[in-house]
Amino acid sequence: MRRARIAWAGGVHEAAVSANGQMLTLADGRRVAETEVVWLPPVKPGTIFALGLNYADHAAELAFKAPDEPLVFLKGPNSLLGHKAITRRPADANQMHYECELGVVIGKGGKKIRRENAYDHVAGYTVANDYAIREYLENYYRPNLRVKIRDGCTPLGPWIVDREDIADPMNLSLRTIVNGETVQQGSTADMVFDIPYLIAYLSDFMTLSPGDLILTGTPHGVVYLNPGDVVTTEIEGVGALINTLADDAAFYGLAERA
Amino acid sequence: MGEVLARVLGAPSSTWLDQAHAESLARDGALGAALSGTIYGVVLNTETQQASLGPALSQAPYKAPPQAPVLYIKTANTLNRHGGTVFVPDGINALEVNAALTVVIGRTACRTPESQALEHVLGYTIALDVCEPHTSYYRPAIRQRCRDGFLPVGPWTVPAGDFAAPDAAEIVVEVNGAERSRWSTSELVRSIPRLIADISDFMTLQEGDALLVGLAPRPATARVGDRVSAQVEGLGRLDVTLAGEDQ
Repeated sequence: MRRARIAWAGGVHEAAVSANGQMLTLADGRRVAETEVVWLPPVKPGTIFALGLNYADHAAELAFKAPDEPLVFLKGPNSLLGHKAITRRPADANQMHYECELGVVIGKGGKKIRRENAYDHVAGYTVANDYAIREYLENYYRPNLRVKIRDGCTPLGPWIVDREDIADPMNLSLRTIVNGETVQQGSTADMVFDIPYLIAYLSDFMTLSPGDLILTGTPHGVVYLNPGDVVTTEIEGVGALINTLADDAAFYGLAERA
Repeated sequence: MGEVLARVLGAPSSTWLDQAHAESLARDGALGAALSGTIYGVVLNTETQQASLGPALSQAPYKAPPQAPVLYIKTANTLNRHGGTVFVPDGINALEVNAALTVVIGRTACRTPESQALEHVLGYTIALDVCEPHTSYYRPAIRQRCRDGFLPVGPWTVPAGDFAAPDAAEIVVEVNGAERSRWSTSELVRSIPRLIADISDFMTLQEGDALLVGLAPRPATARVGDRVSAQVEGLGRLDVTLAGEDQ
């Protein structure tokens, strides 16, 4: 099943999404077209983990060797946005790029989870676009929060697909499409540290809780973006997440111009 | 004596309590961790701490001194309480126990100018930021900083109006009753209002979020069996004990 969180008719709802993605069914049975709703991040997150350099080809692209242990950083809830939202591209962000990532939602918490049991702790999967702005990179606790934890710089969704519906999460194709053109392609098969490894690694030193989210890194092929770009990050069998970039004037609109 | 914001152990959220009552609960070990939002910290926010890196600040891998605040996140699993136990991981000889003045946000701060920043502060508390000692600031130190229980906070939050001088607060750490670290927020490179302005420029701080405004230039360390206390005049005293992982 695909599970979404939406705002519609003055309320926030959990909804089941139809196979074609066009209809949503609320808990009380009401049905609504996806064009009528506001998509929210599909999980109210606890701790948000993200991985850097977790695809060998992307690590090479950035002139780093793949790390010996997972390069983990953390995000705050301020960074998340739902499907079909607008993200600000600051005026000085000429090196802003997308990162298409498989998101793993924890369903059952635990500590010192063994690799062979790791999938028992997964509720499902979603798609993230873990935007980065390279102008703001500094070499302290890199990637630093100003690059990665900006308000609204991590679109997530459109929904969560239940674990049972994804036969092999370690063999899914990913791609990013900017204004209709495919600019990034890869496969989760190329992760340096796979999902069971990451769950075992993190839970070895900290307790994982339901709602925690692990963004598993991005493959090769990042290009810089412009205001107005429509960015779709898509993962086979999971979904296609759309986001639009706005410059400062469009983002702040009348409030800034007044 | 005024009121403080505290969470009675087992209660779902914090409540305002008469300070004498809170002190009595604290003595009985009946207070829980009173923070619930996202918790941010900042390193290298004293001249001394930056100077301890010396010329390395301009060499690889850093290449240049930090421009923006160097921030980190303490995850929800790290929260611990006054009177709690911090478990020392197997194979680790000593932990850094780094007391920080902690700002608790009361009103959403987004693109907040420095001149208005303090209007967004609900109050102040003490955090004891525990970490495994590490010398590099190059990569986020998640494994070192985010173990379960590595952030005792409390014993309560004092409202901003009752805490006179957050920009000159003396922060003292004692280990087994002996002073091991003392510093003052007057040593901060970025003041509290400056931090709130610089952070809220790109990251909204919500009600209940908290910010550890800096770490001691020379942090105390502690081992299994040690009693650690963190004190700030006007905010009280936060006590924890260190124990081995199998205890």
